[in-house]
Amino acid sequence: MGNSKIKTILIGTTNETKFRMYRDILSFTERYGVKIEKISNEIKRANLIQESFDNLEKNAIAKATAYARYTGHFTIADDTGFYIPSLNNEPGPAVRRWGGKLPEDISDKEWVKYFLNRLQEVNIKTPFCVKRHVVAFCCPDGECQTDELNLTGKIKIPGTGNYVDGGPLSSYFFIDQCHRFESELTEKEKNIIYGDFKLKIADMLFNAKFLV
Amino acid sequence: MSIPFILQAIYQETHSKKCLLGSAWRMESRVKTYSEIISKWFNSRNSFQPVRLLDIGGRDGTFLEQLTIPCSTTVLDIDSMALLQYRMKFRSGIALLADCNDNLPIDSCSYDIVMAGEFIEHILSPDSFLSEICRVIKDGGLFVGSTPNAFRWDKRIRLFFGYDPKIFSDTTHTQYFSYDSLTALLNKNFPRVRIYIHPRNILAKCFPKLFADGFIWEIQK
Repeated sequence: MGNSKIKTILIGTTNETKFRMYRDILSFTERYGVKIEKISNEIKRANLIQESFDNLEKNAIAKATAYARYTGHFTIADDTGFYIPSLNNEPGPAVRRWGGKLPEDISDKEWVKYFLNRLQEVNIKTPFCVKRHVVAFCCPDGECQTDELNLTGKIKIPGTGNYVDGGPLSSYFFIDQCHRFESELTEKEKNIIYGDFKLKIADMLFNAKFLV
Repeated sequence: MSIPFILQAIYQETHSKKCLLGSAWRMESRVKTYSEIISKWFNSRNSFQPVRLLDIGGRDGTFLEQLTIPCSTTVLDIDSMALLQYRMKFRSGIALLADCNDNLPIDSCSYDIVMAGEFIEHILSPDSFLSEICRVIKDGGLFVGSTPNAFRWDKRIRLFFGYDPKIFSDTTHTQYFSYDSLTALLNKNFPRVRIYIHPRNILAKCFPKLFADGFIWEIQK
C-alpha cells in the first residue's frame, strides 16, 4: 500500500443508514482532516460491478476495488448475508432479493410477508440465524484487505416492529451476545460490536501511514 | 476467541464514567518505581536485540506514555475505544482486543517485558492469568505489575463499619489483595519475586500492610 496521507475515505454505498454507521466508525479520522463520503448517484449509475448471489467476500472486494479505482480514494465497501440453517441457509447474500428470488424493488411489507411465509413452511418457532458481515478496504492502487464480523442469534416472531428503511430483518433478528433485537441496538452496543473492526481499520490506516 | 459482550460493555462504561482514559490511578508514584525497575532490567541486559513490551490492561496507553521506554509496544485491553485512542498515540503500536480471563491470543516467549498495572485484581483466576504471563514472556524477560492494597487502614475501617468493598473501591474488582496474599500468589507462580510499595513515605515504609496505597512487583523469568 502507498504511504501518502489520505484526504477522503469513500464508503461504497448509497444507503444513508449504512453510510452513517461507517461515518461513526471512522469518526476518529476526522482529527487527521479526513473527509468521509458516500458514493454519488453518478457512480452508482455507472454500474461498475455485478454482484454475485453466493459470495459475500467477492462482492465486498469487487465493490471496494471498483469504487477505489474509479474515484482514486481509499474505499470501504461491504456485503451482508443472513443464513438461517432451517431454511437451507436462506436468504444468504443479497438478503433483499432473497438470493435472487425476489425483485430488487420489493417493498419492506412484501419482503416481510415472503419471509414469514417461508418460516411458516418449516414450522420452527425461533430458528437459529447467523449474520455475516464482510468488509473490504481498498486502496486506489487496487490493494485490498477484508475483515469479517459474524453475529449469531435467533429469528423471533413477532419481532420489534421497528426497523430502519430497507432492513426489516433487523426487527426479527435477536442477537444472542447482546440479548437484544438488532433493530434495538444502542450506539454504545454498536460501538462494542464494531469495536474490533474499528481497530482493524485504524491499524491499516496507521500502518500504511495514511493518517498523518 | 469471542469476548463476552457484557464484559466489554461494563469496562467501556466504567472507563468513560470514571474518566479513566487519559489518566491512571496513582500514576506519579507508580511511574517512578516502574521506570526504575525497567531501567535496571535494561542495564542488566547483554543483548542489543529490539525490545518488545506488552502492556496488559493498558487502556489508552496513558501510563505507558509516561515511561518513555525505547521499545515496540503492544497494548492488550477489553475496551476497544481505549485501544483506538492508544493507536492514535502510538502510531506504530499494536492494539489487541482480548479478554484476559481466557488464554492470551499471543505466541509463547514473544515479549521481553510484560506489564500489568492495576490489572490482576480484575481477573477471575489470577493463577491461570499468571501462567499465561509465564508462557508469553521470554526467558530473562521482565514482568512488572501492581495492584492496590485492598487492606489499607482506611479500607479496614470501612469494612469494620460494614461498607461493601465493591462500593468503596471499584465495582470491577474481583480480587482483593493484601501484602501477604499477593506475595504468596506470585511466589507460587514465579521463582524470583520482589515487591515494592507505593507511595514511598515513612508510614508506608514502616507499616506497608496498613499504609501502602499499593504494591508493585518485579519478576524476572
